[in-house]
Amino acid sequence: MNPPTPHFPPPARYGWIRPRWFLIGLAVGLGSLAWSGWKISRTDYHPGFTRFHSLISPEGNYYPTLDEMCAIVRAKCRPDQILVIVGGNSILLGVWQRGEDIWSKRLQELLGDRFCVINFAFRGGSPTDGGAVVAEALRREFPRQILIINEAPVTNVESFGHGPYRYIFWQAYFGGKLMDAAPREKQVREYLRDNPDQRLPVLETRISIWFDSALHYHDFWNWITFKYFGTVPSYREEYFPHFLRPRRVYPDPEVDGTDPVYLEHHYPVSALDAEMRIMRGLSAFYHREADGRWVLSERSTSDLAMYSNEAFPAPLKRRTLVLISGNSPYYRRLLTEGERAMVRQTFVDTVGIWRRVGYPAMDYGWDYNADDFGDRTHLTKLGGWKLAAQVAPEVSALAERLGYFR
Amino acid sequence: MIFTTYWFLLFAIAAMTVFRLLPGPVLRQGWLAVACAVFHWHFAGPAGVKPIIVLMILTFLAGLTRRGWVCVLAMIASVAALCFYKYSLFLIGSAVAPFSAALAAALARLAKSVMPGAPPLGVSFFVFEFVHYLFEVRRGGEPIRNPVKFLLFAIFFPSLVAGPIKRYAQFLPSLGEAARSPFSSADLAEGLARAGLGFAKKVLIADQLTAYIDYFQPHFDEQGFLGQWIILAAIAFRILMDFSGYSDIAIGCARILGIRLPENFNWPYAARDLQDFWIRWHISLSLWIRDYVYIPLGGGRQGWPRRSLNALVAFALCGLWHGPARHFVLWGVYHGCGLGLCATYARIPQLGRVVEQVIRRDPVIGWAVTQLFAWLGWLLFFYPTAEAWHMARQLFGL
Repeated sequence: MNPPTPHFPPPARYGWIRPRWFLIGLAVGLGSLAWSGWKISRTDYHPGFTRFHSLISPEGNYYPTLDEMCAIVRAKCRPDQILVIVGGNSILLGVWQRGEDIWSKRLQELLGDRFCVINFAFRGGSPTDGGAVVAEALRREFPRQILIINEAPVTNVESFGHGPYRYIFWQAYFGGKLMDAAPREKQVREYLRDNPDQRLPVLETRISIWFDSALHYHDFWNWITFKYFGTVPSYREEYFPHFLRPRRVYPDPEVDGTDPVYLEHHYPVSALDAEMRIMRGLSAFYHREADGRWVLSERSTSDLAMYSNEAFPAPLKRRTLVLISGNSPYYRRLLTEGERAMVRQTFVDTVGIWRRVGYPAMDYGWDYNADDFGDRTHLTKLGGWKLAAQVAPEVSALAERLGYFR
Repeated sequence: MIFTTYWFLLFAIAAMTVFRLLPGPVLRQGWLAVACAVFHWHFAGPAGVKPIIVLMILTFLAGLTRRGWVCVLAMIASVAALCFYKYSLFLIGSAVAPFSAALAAALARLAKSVMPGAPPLGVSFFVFEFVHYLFEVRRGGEPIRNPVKFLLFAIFFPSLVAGPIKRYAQFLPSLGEAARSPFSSADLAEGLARAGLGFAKKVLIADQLTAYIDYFQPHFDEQGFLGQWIILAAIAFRILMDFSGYSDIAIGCARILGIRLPENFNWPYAARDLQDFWIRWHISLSLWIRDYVYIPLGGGRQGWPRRSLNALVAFALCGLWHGPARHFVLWGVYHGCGLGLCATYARIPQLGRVVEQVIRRDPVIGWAVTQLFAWLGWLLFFYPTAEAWHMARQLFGL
């Protein structure tokens, strides 16, 4: 005897569906969307692109794809120009600088028409994020290229991106667009071995990239959300109620740090302790000799050298200009003389190590004044323009050394 | 979340395609069993699979004996496993801690040392289906003798994560027919349409409402009258779209394989009274509670006071089933009280008759009262009791 079946409601009716036409329609619709996505992935829909500001970047829940960024490069940069891609973090992104005053624009003016400067830095990005991935993916199409990145002193750089921007690296990595680099492969393997909780998310990313390579839905939906209507909220308080608006109409929210209105926000008392702790914390990597010299510990030296050496594939090191970002004198002056010497030494050592392993490197900010900074590290328009003036000759010289003018 | 992963999409395409390409029921059912095991292993991990395997073997063997006491013992083992994995910390905190904090701490430490980090995936659904199976076998139902079929009943991947809670007498014939029948474009089309509807509900509506609620709910007090009621509506529609979306995906995926799963939702926000609501909301759970808790307790056979008490107990358990927290129990009791009132209000002298006549004359009033009751209940479901009470008072300007 079988038990009685309870009275579930009748199944939902789909009698209106004609199976054959439905399946043909589905196939045709999916094919059309995939074809549209493929076309879009080769189209630049960011006219007048300046940077991925917070409302068109992952922090605003908009995830630019690798293809989208490559399309911007192709649209902006002529084949006869030397491509200069700016990567790195919020400092090079130009936080505290309005889009029209951004330092990378000034760099373009100073370098002239022989160069094409494109800013792909992200807030909280690492040197191997966004811009670095795009540059490497385009190495054959744009062989005359220079990558500008930045980092804080005594910071180890992973070769496969960082945090919320690592998806761009995975897109290139699993999409087969990067060079073979054994040290990077090793770091990826070790990362997955040491972080078992990341194995499934990375597998998930890998499968999504596999699907996307056929269907191009990431590019398609980015295009829709940028040009026509928002498909996901931005999570930014002031924009949330209007999240259906296309992202192209969202203004670049960065403000001019030199505007008197914002001066009082530069160095808030509430941030003082934390900022000083960051600077003083660098002493953890150092010991002081009897003669008063600050010496970087052996472990930190070898780690920094190893990570810097492996951050980029060997053939790409020479075209990668590393900037070690300085601190505002507002905070530096609060350090004791000994602490100031220690902080200075961190810059000297970090630049030295990056150079030793094969990168052109420089630090900046020691001769800037407090108005050049919007906070401890970010530059205002004044500081940004000083940085552009300092970097432009280095870029030109680097292009010369690499034989790009021949 | 599981259905909205790329891994699931890839897995489902492979599993369903191969199922349809294989000839004969034996190969098809064998393949489906392997696919379901892979699915379960992938998402539950070894720690989540082991207890389910033990319970599965126990249930299967107990069913084969067809002895009442063996089935009862196996049911007790299943329920004990559910209590252990899902409720032990809650029970220790609620029942032991008030008397001895030290003993509660020691028991909690002991429980944590032997438990996996999280309860085994879908353990509540497993236990409910096993109890149903054993209950019916004990009552004289035919046991499942084929271990592959039993395995498929237990870990059929579309319904493993969030139901619907299956009945084996309904599932097995459908499975057999699907394994025998040739490819059906109607099943494929209807299954795709249903699963697509589910994905749309989940991703396009529920997830967006979640973002809206996450943003505005912490500022609930600062919202105006309309804003607060919009948040309540968003909460109500979020859970409907999320859960019914999941059910649609499960039913759609099963349909692509040619298997019919029971419906789980039937326009619950169109219900005109609370009984009607529970006939339309999470139907497979409501029917399970009715058949295996409410009716065995005596149902409505022993007068309205006992009937109300039975409903209260059944719904308290229903609430607890949703999670190990007091507010879930309260939500269940809230609905139990509501159902008790719904069944008995007409007996209230004078007032009851008037209310009944008003509702009969204008069904919209019944609908509005029912929805208001159900929607306010979601506050209790989603938020700690004090916060839910505070939000409810704000909604009425109190």
